[in-house]
Amino acid sequence: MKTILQILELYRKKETTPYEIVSEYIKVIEEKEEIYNAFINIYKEEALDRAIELSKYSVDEFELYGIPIAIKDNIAVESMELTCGSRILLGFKSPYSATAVKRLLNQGAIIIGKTNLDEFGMGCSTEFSYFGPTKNAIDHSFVAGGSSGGSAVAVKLGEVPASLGSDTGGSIRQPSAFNGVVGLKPTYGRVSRYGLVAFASSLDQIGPIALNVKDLALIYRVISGYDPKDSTSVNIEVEKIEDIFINKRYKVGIPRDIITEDVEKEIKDGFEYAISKLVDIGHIVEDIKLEYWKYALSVYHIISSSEASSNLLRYDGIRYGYRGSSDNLWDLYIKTRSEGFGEEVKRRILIGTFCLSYGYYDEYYIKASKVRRLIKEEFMKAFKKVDVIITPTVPVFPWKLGEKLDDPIKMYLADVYTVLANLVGIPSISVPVKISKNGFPISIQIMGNYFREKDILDLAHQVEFNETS
Amino acid sequence: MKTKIGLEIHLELKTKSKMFCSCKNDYNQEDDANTNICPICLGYPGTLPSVNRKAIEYAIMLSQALNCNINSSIQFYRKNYYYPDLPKGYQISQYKLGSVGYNGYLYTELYGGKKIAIDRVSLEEDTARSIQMENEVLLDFNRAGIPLIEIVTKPDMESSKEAVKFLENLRLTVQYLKISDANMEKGHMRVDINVSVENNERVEIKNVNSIREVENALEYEINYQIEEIKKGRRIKRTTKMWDDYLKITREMRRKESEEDYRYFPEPDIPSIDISEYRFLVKTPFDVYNELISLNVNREYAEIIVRDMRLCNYFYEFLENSGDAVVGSNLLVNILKSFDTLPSVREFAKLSFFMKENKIPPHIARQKLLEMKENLNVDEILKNIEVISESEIENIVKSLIERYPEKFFEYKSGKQGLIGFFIGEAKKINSKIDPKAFREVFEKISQNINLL
Repeated sequence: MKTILQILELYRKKETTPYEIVSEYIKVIEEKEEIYNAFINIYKEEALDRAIELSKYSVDEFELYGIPIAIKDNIAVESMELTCGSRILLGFKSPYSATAVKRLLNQGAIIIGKTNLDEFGMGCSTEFSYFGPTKNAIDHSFVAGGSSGGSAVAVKLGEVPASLGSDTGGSIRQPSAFNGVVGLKPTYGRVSRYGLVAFASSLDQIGPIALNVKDLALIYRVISGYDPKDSTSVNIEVEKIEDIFINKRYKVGIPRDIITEDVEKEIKDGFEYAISKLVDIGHIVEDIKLEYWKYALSVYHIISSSEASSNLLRYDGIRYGYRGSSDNLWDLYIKTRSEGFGEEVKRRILIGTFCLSYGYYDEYYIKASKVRRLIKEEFMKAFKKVDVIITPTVPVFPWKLGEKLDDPIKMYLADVYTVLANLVGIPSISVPVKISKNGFPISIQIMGNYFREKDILDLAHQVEFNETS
Repeated sequence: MKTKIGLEIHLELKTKSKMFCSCKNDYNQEDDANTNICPICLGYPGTLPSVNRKAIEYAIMLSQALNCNINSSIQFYRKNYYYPDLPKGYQISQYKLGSVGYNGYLYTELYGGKKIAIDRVSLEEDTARSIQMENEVLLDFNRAGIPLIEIVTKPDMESSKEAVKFLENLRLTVQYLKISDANMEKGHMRVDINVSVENNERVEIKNVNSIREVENALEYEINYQIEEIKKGRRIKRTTKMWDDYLKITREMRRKESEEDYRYFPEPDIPSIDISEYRFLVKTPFDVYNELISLNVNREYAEIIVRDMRLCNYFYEFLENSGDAVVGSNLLVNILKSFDTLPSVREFAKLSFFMKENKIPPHIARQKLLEMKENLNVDEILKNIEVISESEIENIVKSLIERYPEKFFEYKSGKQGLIGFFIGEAKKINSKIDPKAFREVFEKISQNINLL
């Protein structure tokens, strides 16, 4: 399996062409898709056309020359379908491209297809897709994780060397951990959200998934930067690759209280293994205390569902997408949304609508916002003492397909560690550190201070366990 | 019975582009339907709003003009509800806290009048225009996303007349700030009314589209409520529509009137610091006071201030060294009825020669009515033989000598005889100015003592 850096090297040596590379990956896609279902739409002809177009240019003109990339299907690509894994957007083609996608295209990347996801990003198994579940790349009777399950599985299977996902509460990092690839959720505001279909606007962030940390950094660099189209994006210069991988020694904070008895034994062991590895390399490890993390998952669900209930109001059947049949306006709304949305999305819309309702707003949304601020302040205090904070990415291993469908609360617990970085707005990376006995990788999450992606990329690179690294 | 009226006014701003995207703001509805649209104002999946700074500036200007406190930072909120004219399913709006201005006031008159408290001034976006056809509703998204300012008053008005005066002053204020044409026919200014009688429940009347209709709606509703109260019926809190065809208020369906909008802070737009933004604003009240300080009489000043065409003309006239007192008089009494106004320079020149007594007022009036927009002061001067004071004195003296008995009667108190002398003087010199003649005649006559 080739990394981005290896492909670029082949181009430089003129040992291959974008057309050959795209053809290779399409072959893998055609072999694997029937079982794994990582893609919702594959744009074979378009990708090959673009590969031919790129042959007019040279590899040194672009940072991602001729690199096939898959895009999670809640990110807009002009003239491609944008389904969000939902029936409600069935057949909808986006008239514009997301800023992150434009940046990729400007650097010579080739969009090869749109990947599967939990409907509108709501879920952590990629089972809640109108287009059927994506299967785990390591064992296809297990869940892929989610919601960027398609993007993680596609990379692990070698269907693409890298992909874009989106992360609202762990949707990049958790499927990356489940499939043994690396995934980065950048600082909130680092990557423009323009063109990312909103799930929870104050938490959503686009990020890359790749085979190893160096590839990840390449994509991260290209998609990052201020965008006037996203008022929450921030104008802080993006690091150069050579300034990222400097093999620095870091002060690593370990919030030990977070590792409760609910965490699977082997994951605990894996986490301890990672700590000892850090110490061996020469990093300074320090215990830190976090109190409010216990409330993070509740706060996350109140805030994300509240925002989602508003963000999803626009799917009303009037202007685009699926429309229920009725000659009465209110009935049309009801039919469109009842038939267009899946169960998990409806569940969250109901929760969110309730949390924002008159008489409950203060008790839920406002209170959750206050606790969110406390969590933020606690992290800021911690970052005065340490450079990065690590936890396991997920407290559990992938579960069997269908196993937790009837118990959403249990499923939500998979996000318990990842939601922290979204609530605080800091960057976080998931990186495999070893393989467990069951064959699934064990990953840690490294959280850094605001706009300190370079710290977590550098450290992740030093500890990653990877066949390609 | 005691009536309390509060108003909520929505104003379409005349910015170049829309509130949250770069589409043209076609506030005068000149373009074909659905031509000024983009994925952002259509609420397409994945799009985000970027705030139009100009609209914020306009809201600050209006807040200043309405004597508001201005928040140091503003926050947008989402107002969630379904309607086909609302592309995102929520309107980006503001909510009590975080509005641009709060606690202001506006008077009902230019001078004195009643002070009406302004609760807040906030920004939001307009919805699409919906056109009801026989069997379908057509939507024009050109209007979706046009910047709106919402002005909410306290229930300080006590009659439909007061509400009308308030609205007229508000409209004039925004026109002076050049932030909106406030043309009600084009829907630039739309009013929601809250009215209660004798401390009963308040009734809201939505979307009244002209100042006259506000007056009609209020009169209808106040009368209706008074009649109900007299009959011993209870007024319930409700939302009504003004039917400007039947001229009645009608209750809206419950569903539409009792919506929970589930306001929450718009996560796509961080709060914006506006503490550095303040503007020089000139309100109609400022202009009125300025005219008074130039000795323009109050009645004229009000007429000029309330007519932007006259007011702009008058200021240009002042810049051309026109005389304020002479000019305001002619402007209000003569020029006001002209379709086209004469050149400001000529008019200023005219006022100068009048002030210098080189052109007598009656000639000036007569010539203005003749020449209208083609006023030519040199032409007037050519035809005026300016009669010097000493010449008039000679004429006066000769007339007194010629008609001693008439002069005796005049001196004895028959003041009306001055007309006789003026007539005689005109026989001697037809171009004599009666006013100048009268002044000289009175002066000389005072110096002659009858034996």
